[in-house]
Amino acid sequence: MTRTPDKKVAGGEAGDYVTAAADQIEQALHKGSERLRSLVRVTAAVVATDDLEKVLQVIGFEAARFLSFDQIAVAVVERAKGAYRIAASVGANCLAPGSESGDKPAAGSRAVGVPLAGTAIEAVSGSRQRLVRPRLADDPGPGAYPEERRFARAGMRSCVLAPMIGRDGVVGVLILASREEQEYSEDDLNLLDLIAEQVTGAVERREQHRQLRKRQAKLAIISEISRKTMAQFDMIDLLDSVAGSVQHSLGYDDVGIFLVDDSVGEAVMMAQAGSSGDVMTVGYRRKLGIGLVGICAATGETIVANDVSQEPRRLIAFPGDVPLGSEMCVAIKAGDNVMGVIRAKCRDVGTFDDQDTSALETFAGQIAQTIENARLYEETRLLKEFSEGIVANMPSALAVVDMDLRVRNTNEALRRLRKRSAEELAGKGLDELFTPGFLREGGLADAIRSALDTGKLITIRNVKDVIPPAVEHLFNIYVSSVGIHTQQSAIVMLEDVTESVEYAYQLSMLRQINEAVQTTLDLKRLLRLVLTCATSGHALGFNRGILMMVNRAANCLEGRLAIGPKDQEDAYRIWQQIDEEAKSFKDLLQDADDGRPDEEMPLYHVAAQLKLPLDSDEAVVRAVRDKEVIVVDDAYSDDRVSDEFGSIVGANSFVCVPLIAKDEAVGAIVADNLYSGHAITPDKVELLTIFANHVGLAIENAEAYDALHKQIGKLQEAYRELRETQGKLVQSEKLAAIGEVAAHVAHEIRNPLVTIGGFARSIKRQVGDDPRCSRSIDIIIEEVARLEKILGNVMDFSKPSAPWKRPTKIDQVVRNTCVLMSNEFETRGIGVTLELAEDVPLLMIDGEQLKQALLNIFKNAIESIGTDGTITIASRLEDGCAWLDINDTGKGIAEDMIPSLFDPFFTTRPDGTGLGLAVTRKIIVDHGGDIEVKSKVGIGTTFTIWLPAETSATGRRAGPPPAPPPTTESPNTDTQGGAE
Amino acid sequence: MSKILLVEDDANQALLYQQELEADGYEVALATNGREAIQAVEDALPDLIVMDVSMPGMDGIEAMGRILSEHNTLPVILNTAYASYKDNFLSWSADAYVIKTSDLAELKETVARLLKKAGADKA
Repeated sequence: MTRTPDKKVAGGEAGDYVTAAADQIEQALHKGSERLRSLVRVTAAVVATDDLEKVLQVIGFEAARFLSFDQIAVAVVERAKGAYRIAASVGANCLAPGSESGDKPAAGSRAVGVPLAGTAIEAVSGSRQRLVRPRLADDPGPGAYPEERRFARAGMRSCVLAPMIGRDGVVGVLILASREEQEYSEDDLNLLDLIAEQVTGAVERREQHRQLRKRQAKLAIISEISRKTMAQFDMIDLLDSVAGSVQHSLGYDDVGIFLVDDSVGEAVMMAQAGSSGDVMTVGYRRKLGIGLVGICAATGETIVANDVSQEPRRLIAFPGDVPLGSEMCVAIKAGDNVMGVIRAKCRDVGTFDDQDTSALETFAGQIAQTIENARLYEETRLLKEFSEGIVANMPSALAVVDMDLRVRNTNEALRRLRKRSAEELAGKGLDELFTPGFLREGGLADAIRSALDTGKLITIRNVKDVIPPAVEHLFNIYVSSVGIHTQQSAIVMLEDVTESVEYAYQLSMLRQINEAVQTTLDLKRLLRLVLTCATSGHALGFNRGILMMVNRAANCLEGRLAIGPKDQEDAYRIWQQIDEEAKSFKDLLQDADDGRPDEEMPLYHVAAQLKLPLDSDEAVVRAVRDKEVIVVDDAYSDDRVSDEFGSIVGANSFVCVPLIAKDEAVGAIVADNLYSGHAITPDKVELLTIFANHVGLAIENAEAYDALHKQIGKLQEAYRELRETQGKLVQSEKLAAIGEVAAHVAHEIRNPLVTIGGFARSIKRQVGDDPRCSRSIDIIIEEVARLEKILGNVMDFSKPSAPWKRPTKIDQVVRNTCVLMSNEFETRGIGVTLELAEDVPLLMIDGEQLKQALLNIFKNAIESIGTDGTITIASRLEDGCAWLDINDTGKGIAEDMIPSLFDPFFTTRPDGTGLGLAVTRKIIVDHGGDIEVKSKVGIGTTFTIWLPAETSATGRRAGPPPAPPPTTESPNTDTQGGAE
Repeated sequence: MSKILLVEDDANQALLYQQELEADGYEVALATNGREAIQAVEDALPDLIVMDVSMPGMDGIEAMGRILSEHNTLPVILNTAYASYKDNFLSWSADAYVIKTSDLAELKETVARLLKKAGADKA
């Protein structure tokens, strides 16, 4: 191991510079990708949960990688109320009013609204500008915001408030505070802005959920009222008059009428007349079986207590309720069924006698009849009201079914649902009204029977039914019975919950879509997903979607991608397939992600035709320009749609939804229902808009990622170039050194060679025909000529010397080289095996240069073997190239030496110049080929050379015309300067 | 018999060229550096000069320049081991530039050609 180029010579200052630059690049890459990763994790958290607290925890965790924070909070601004509230907070909680002192979150404090006026929250949300305080003073002074004072009191030393800008303006403020002073870099702040945007998404989505829940609650209340209305009957007027007349006519101090409420097992005071100083009023409830009224109501027996204070069954309902005088309770009965109790009270004891008893019992009988009649009347009236009023106009479908399961009445909603008139349905069997599936599998028939038998309300949820022509709906069914015993009817109410179930489904779908979209950073893939989401039947449910993007450079809006069936037939087939294979949304997304180029999508041509100048008045351009949704109902008569656009898109109604990223419209989705013909409902438009809003964000993310990626690519490229240049520099420095040394040495040697060779030739002429002398002299001449040529090569090493290429047989070159080395081989006991293929054609090579190249390899092999070994030379034709493998059984080359084996001046021999293999490689490369080496220490080394086996001359410099066939090629052939 | 002035500092090489040229039937005079060469030309004008370039004292190109300024039709062959002198424009005034090699065929052929040309010019 003699010398490898010294590092200083090789790299010098350039080397140091490269190392420093590489470090910087690496740091920049590292930092950039860290931030990006953080952002992605925050995005994932926002998508994964509605719990702001959890999102904040993730943000806190991520932000802590770059900055130190002790509190992160989200203040939601409620402008209408002129207040804000801390919607979520993690870490120290020093913002909630009254909790300045400690880290403990004040329970429930989050819900408390704080007046907005004069606060930093107001300033930030009003100006949409960040508020950055790298240093907070202990006492912020009178001009400071109240939040600053709170922070300062809680020991915070720096804070940032970033506006959370949503679809409809500022929704709140993201607050971060730290106990340490800190400088916020532009990068930190940008990251916070991005995080604030993510949180904004989470807040907005929470709002959407809240609205959905409200909507569902409203629906529930409506149906509850409907049910209550069915069961309620109001006879208070009637009972009041009865009570009044009894009290008045019989002269009792106090008369009350109780009715039994079976559902809770209580008697309720419905009417009362007179006064006994009693605290009981109308609405008073008494458990059945307790107290006099309760016992009477439970047993139906008449109870007379002429001295209440002595009556053990009485109930003292309230402390201070001093029972006095006498009391009588008579049951109001229809047969054995106790409907209620009429109770009479007198202040005096011993008032009631048998006459009173029988009179009251008679009244009770009459009252029972009246109540029965009233009930019947009430029910009839109610039913009438139902059918005429509430029931008729109820959004839920309703039918009244009699004991024989025949339809007695229906409301408008049901008739609309069944597309039949009242007359058509009246008196018909249930089969006419409901499908067999609904009746039996859905359990409706059983429910009606059970309701009629027990009088209870029966509820069945989420029953599927198909409404003609073929739309599947989901219903909640409520069945209750009305009427008197012999005339029971069942009221069947169908509540169509398709929409709310669908809405909930869509919302969950929207979440899935968002997840897919938000976690995709590859812009192209993202765009594909976006359209697939908009058109994949189950989710947003449009037939076709066209994605258009703003091209600022060309100042136009151009179609990027269109997804959807290409015609009606295709549409039918695809939908059928989706139904049959029951593809989930995930499957669809996966299908969309099949790596097919955009150009192969069936509707691509539609998108490709669309290119609209940004100043045009086309609807979709307006949507982008004004950042608003435009629904076109009738394109043919709509001024905003040009004939051209209409004919390319082909749909008469469509919706244009802008994609907004960073407050700027970056494109639009145009969606239609060309094949199904479904109307574009406000619901769908709203969903698509929500979706587009998220897509805008995702596109922004993807673009940011793209830009970062490009930046990384550039840096890597710069780094690579720097290294390459350094490598070249080292190479050229080496070569320059070679040039100097070689030129000097070469001339020192060349002159004596000229003399030796010259005299040898001179002698050759003089010795004449003596064959032995002649051969020896020939060898001298030949060897001298070869040396001279080597010197020529070395002298010109830094200036490539073009090979003189002639059609040459490579195996002849190999053989000639072996002859030259035969003495050396023999002396050292090295065997040479030639495995030369017959089919290698003539190669356009310089035989002399090639011989030199091989000689250097042989010398290397001999050096490696020392004594006793084998050198094998094999040739083959493969892939249009001639290959030579030169294998030796020598000691091999250490692995770490191999990369520098062909470097000039690299040598492991104490006496080597290190030029041999470098020259070899140069010769091979000059011939358009290459050389490589494989070696194993202790086993041997194989050099593999390949040379192009083309037949025409393609040398860099056109050589002289091809010489006669290679039979002339021999070691004796002259080298430089031509033949004698 | 044409007279050739051989300028060569390497004694062995000088002997080789002298023998070879004499064998071809030329009369050869010898100088071992530039100064000697100029002196030799002044003493007896040769028909042709074979001039080595790299020599101690005055080198071949300078000597050639001085000689040619007096005798501008005298054929001069620069005979050198260095191809790089070709880049020196002073060498362009030589009638030929031969790179030294043990095969003297090129040199001999050049000598014969230039002498023939000079003879023709004279005639």
